[in-house]
Amino acid sequence: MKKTFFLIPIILIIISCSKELNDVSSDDNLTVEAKINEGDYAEIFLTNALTFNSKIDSLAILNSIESKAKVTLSDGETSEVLSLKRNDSRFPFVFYGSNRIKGSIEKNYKLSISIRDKEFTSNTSIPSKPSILSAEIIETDDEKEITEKFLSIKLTIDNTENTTRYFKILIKNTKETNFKSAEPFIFNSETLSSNDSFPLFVSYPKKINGEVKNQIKKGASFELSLVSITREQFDFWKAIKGDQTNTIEENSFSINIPSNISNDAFGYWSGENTTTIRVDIP
Amino acid sequence: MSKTVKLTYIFTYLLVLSTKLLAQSHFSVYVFDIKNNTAISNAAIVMESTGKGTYTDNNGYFELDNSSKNEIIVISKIGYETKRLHSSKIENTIYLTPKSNNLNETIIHGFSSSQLKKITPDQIYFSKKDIEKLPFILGEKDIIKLIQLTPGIQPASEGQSGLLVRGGNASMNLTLLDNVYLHNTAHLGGLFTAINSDFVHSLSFSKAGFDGQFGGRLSSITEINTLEKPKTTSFNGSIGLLAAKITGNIKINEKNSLLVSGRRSYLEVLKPLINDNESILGDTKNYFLYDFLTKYRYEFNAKSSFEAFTYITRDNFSDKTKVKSRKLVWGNLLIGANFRHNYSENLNSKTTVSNSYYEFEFSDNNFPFNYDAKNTFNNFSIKHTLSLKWNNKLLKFGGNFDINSTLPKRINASIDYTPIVVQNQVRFHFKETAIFGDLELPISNKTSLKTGLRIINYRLDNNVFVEKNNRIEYEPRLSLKYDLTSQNAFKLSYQRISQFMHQASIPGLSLPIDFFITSTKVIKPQISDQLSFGYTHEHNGFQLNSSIYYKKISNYTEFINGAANNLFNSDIFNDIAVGSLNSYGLEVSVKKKIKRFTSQTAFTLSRSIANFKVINEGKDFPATFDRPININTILRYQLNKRIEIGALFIYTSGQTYTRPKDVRIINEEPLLNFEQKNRSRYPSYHRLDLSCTYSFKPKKKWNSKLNLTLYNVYNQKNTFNIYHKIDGDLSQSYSFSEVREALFPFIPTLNWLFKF
Repeated sequence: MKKTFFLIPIILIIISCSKELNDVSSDDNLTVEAKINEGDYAEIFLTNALTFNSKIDSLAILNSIESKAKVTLSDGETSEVLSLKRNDSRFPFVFYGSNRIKGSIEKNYKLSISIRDKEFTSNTSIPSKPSILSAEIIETDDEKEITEKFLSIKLTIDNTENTTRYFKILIKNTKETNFKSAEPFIFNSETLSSNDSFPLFVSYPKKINGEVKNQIKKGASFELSLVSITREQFDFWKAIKGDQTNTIEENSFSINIPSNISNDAFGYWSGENTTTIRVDIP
Repeated sequence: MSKTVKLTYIFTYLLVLSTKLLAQSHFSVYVFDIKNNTAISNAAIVMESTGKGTYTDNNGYFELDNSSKNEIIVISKIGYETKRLHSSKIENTIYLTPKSNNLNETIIHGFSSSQLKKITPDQIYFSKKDIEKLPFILGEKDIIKLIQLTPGIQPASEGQSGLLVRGGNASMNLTLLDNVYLHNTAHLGGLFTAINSDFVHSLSFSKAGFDGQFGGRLSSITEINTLEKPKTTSFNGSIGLLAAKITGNIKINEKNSLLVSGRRSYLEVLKPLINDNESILGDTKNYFLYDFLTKYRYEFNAKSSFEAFTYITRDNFSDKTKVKSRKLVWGNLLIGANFRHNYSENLNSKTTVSNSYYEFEFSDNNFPFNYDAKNTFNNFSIKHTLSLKWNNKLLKFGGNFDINSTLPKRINASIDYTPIVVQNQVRFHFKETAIFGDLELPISNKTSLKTGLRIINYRLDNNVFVEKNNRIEYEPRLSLKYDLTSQNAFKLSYQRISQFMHQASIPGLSLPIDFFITSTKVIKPQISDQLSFGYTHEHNGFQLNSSIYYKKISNYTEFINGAANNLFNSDIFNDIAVGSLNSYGLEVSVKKKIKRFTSQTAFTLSRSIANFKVINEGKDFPATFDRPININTILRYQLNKRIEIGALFIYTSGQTYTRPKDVRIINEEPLLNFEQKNRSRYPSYHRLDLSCTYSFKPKKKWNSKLNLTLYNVYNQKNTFNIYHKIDGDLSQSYSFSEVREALFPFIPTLNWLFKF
């Protein structure tokens, strides 16, 4: 027993040596989804964080909308305070939009959001327009139902620019109002620099009653947007969605989500350039 | 459950049967040399009360009829310590210890790995005998998993066989098999380690006070020696529910011997029972592992010997669900040769030439890409050590030259036959040249010193990523032992180690999808400075070892986004964070032997704190495997000479993880935003295993045992992985919930072990 007592002071020393670990300053509640398309007015969607573990319904979402901010946009020549606008077809249905400044490839755009005595700032520019050379329908055996064919759209994308480009793909059935994420959602041309064009197979997965189903079906028509995005927006989505070639399912991707907005706001301010095509499935 | 009931029935039946056999009081026993694991012939076996007895034959075998229940059996042989054993303690194999010339050496009966003799603290030694006495885990005496039961060491997560030693990650351990580097020590999911314990002669494990000949890994050294030349040919093996294995130690003639060992799983056989297409044993999926060792030994004469060996490990998983074709294959290939020469009784040498190759390959034809990815590591090594003893002093010195190459990734990918070019898929080549020396000597009656130095020259060849890099590291080591009395000793140790390889892996998963990259001019070598202070007490079957340690690792590296996200990136160096890791703690282990009962408890109290400029705003945070409290207990009771029962209880604090803090809405999707890194902790891990081993009556050379192990007896659902899912409809009302997955429930395993 003597030996046990001998150990007690050592245990106490170890415990007392344990450092109190300091919390880092937490992220701001502000969420920013801000984009400016070539030839279009800027759209800045602002929301506040929703509590994890809580029920998220229309009321909670309504309460999360931030509409008390002062949002200023500048293109180096013109500066304007953005006004609140409404679009009932998407959430959040209130956004800040520009009335004078439209997106142009040559310019840099500075965004400034003032709220709760804090100022959040960010800069972006607009990437070049993507070009879809062709689109065709591909049928393969469905993994789950061998009797049914899995339909995907094969895009052939122009890749003659020498620099690495970043893309996201959005899709919607022509009967739907809003675009949703396609599969793959993001990709870049970093690995494709030696080819003048490259193919990409696009599908439209949607979770219905807990099961993910491809929405591309015979007889339907779809609009497909190939959107050039900035490296910052790509890195944001990559941290959340991960590398889509990853074989490890249920892997938790990076918890270190990058943002190009100051003061720890969550989200991005990104220039975009969109090419949209219509695909009819025979 | 019906299977469990059946197994329990068999177990009870065997228990009843054994009680009947016990009354026969007949011994059939082998006597072996504990050091060489070879049979001892002509050993005298005498019953103390009557003076009657017998001698062992050439196989070390004897039979004895004993009429008294309280008989003392004396086993003696010139050159060996005489052993007096109560008849109740006679087992199938009795080991004799060769007499030592070292007058200060204390033999502790029941604990061959006495810490009093060793100058360096924190060393573990398992002889063949120790391994036999260790508990079964999932039906295996898995020596790597059993090291996890010693203080200061823990598995990464349930089922994993990698070691996390004093806060270091799994890449910081050096494993040597017959002096040859073994890169990956785990089979799938850590179900088995790559080491089949049947071919192991001894294992030594160090987490401080490394010999100068060892370096390159910061946390631990595991030296595994395979079986030596036998006096007679013998075979042993086992057939279990998951795998079968057999090992033959074959004496060809006086000069030549051969060791052959193989193991293969047959999980495929269980497919009809599982009947779950989603599992690894689904209809269109297949998984198997195997490993195979051959060692040839030739004795030139009494002074010189040569051995050559090959060791192959392989894991193979394939999934051909409908149009999918997914494949994961990985394994080690070791080829080595050792030449030993004794110049005199006091001067001997050992030369090793070896090549160790590791490859991991995976492929998938799923959308959006078809690809085949591979990473490899190769080590070619030449090492020479000389050992000189004189007047209780020991000098070891030598050098090694290693040529290493690592290919972090080689990817062949295509979309509809259009190749995707992943740039900069280059090999990294680096050489390590080291000279080293160690000196052990008594500096007073009570104080012993071991001091060593390793000087390494690291040379990295340039490629498109990195410039040439040439640097020299000096690694001093010092250990002091002070014998307070013949039963008590204090020990102090300091060491500095450098590691030139940096690893990124996927936490929480046991698939070896790791990227190894080398130190560069920008990413400096990881360097660990460790100080530990220990106290050892041994007395009449009681053994107490304790130590406190402080370890600082500078240039500690992590991949910010983990390994998986770097697969298609052109420059994986962009994703590396360089910081530091501080680890400190108290470790205590207590062993007690009372007649037939042995208990062993290990207790660790520790912290591992990391710091990176680019993570957590540069503030300290607990490392992923920072588990402040770790306790485990092994109990073993020899019910009679046929039946041994054992229990293993483990308790450890849960590993840290990062929980979502809140939910953000972007692109009309709910996205998780996480709290600061590693702020939360998994629930504590605990489980109880019970085992029972029944030894059948030996028939001449034939010995066999039946082992039943009940893993996780009270079916504790220990958290293995946490993920988050959405409940409800995104267009109406929904919420996120945290899902905690458990890996191994209550599992009974039955193994038949045999030896002939």
